[in-house]
Amino acid sequence: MATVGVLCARGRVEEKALMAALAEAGIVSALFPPTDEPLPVGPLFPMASGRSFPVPQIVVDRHPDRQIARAVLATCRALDVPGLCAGIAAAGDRLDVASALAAKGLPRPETALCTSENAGLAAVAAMGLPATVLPLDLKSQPIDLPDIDTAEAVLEHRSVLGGSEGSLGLVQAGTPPPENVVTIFVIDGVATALETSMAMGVSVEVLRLAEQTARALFADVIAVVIALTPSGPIVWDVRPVPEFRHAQALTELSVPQAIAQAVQHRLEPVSAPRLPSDSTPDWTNLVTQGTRRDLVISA
Amino acid sequence: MNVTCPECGAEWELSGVEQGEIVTCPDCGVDLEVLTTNPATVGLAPEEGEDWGE
Amino acid sequence: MTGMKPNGPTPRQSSRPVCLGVLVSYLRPEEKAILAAARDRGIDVAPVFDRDVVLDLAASDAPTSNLDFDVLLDRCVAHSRSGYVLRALQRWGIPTLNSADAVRLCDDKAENSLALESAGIPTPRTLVAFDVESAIRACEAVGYPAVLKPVTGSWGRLLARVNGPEQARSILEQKKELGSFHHAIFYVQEYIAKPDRDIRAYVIGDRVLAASYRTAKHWVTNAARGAESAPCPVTPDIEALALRACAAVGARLAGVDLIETQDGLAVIEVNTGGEFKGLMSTTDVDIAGAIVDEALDTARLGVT
Repeated sequence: MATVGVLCARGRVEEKALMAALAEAGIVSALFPPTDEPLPVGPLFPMASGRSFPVPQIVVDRHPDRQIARAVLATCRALDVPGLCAGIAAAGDRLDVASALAAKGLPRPETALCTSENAGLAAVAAMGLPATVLPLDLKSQPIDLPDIDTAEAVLEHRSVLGGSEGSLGLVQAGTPPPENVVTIFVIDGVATALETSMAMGVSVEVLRLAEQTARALFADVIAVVIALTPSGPIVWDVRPVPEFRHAQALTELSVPQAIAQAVQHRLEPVSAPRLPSDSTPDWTNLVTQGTRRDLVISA
Repeated sequence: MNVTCPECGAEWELSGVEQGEIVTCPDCGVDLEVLTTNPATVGLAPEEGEDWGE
Repeated sequence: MTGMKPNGPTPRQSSRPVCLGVLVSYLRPEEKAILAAARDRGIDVAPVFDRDVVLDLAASDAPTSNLDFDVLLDRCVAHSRSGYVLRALQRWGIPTLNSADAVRLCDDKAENSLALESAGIPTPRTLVAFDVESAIRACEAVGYPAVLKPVTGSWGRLLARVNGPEQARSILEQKKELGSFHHAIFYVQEYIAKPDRDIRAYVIGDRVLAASYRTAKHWVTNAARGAESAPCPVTPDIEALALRACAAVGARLAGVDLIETQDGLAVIEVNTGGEFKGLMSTTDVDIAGAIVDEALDTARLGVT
């Protein structure tokens, strides 16, 4: 029985849809990791409780807290459990993403890494306003800087209240209006769905740019935020764990179905469960029990 | 009164609640605040603040 | 005992000089001037570093906590620390300059504004809200541009001029996301178009000892933010309003921030720990000496 761990904080609309799509494909899944269960580091050994830790065959990264996600994904790797995730965007931060895309020559806005409030102000002075602050942590939302008063206030607050972590951030030139922004969901290298408030259609060029971005980041699943500028589309930001409840499908598969298919492809070469059957947790009846974390796994 | 959890989409019946009351989604377990009672709607409950207490 | 210093004086004798403690976080030019002025007057003076203080709350008097002074002058920059020290000294009957109550009112901008409004003192319209959405409504109520300030804090830090609702949201979200709960007490004030300067009036006891203009190109005209100080004549209007503001919060020693509006002078806030380095550069008045004299008066009057 194939088992998939859906790495998340809580089963939201997206995770439920994903688990339903996995079930449709005959794949058993459960939220991962079990609540308040310590994770083993390194090869599996019996927990203090005497039970075996329920190790899935593959983990799909859906955790909104990137620090937790990174830690759990690393632990999974140590257990030889592969993760379906956003690659560099899952393991790293916005600087890693921007650097990887720049190295591949993909179009991006003028960007500066700022390590202090004054560096941020200098970047804004050089680029002009409006500009946008993108905190390094991908879970934090970009912050628009429409005018100098806001720029001063935001950069000071990030420095004084956020310390060195808050001071560190990317400043990107411009603030694309929502009607010039499109978010493309790329799954296993294919632009699968999009979300936009743009009036006109999305060009193939934009879809290809999103796919190139996913490839450059070694991302299995990612949402690429693309801004349309007079000089062409640019990669504005990425979302390692995107919400997709309002996404419009571009193929015959919905986003959760496409993720389920990607999972299926990775499970195919695996012929037998990795664990001896007596220590394999019983996942069979879990998906019918709702997605409350405390109901999920009993090993 | 049927409500829909904004977090997980679960629908369930809510009765005898007042606006501002905190309820728990029976499906995903998230804490929700009753926003309106007629019609009944719920939203994510406010996060507990550091200075909250008795 | 590591970290403890015997801050207190030797046992009291009737003939010994007044013993003045100066509560400090560290010594700035102001505190050095105060210590020098006290020594010049033959006063037994000792700095009390807040980091060394251990308050014995079970004790019925100050010696147990090495705070046995005739009067304690608060020059501590750590507001939360000085608040507890002054409270304890109040309980032990040691007079302080300023009083614990005055410092409490001045260390919180919302309390400060409330006290000024209660006394009918002209001050910019101020609203307090506890949520991003309601704070945006508060900004709209005072009109754009609005000013956001932290309720605690000083030196002109984290002041924000807000030009619209989206800008308000950007800044309020930072406060909520990055700050402690204090920063989610949103203090929203109307923005008053003023000349590129404000006035710092230094009140000691019942008089304004000196005043200075603080001029800056930036809308924040705070000396700590680089504003330049220039002499300002103490007019009867300045004197009267500054003294009323101090009376409203019970302060005997304060830097009162005033602005010149179209309708006359208005009080921004009263700072009980007012710095006067900028003022010292604009006047020959012996501010430090006057502070020490006021401390001596406080010692004579006792706890009020």
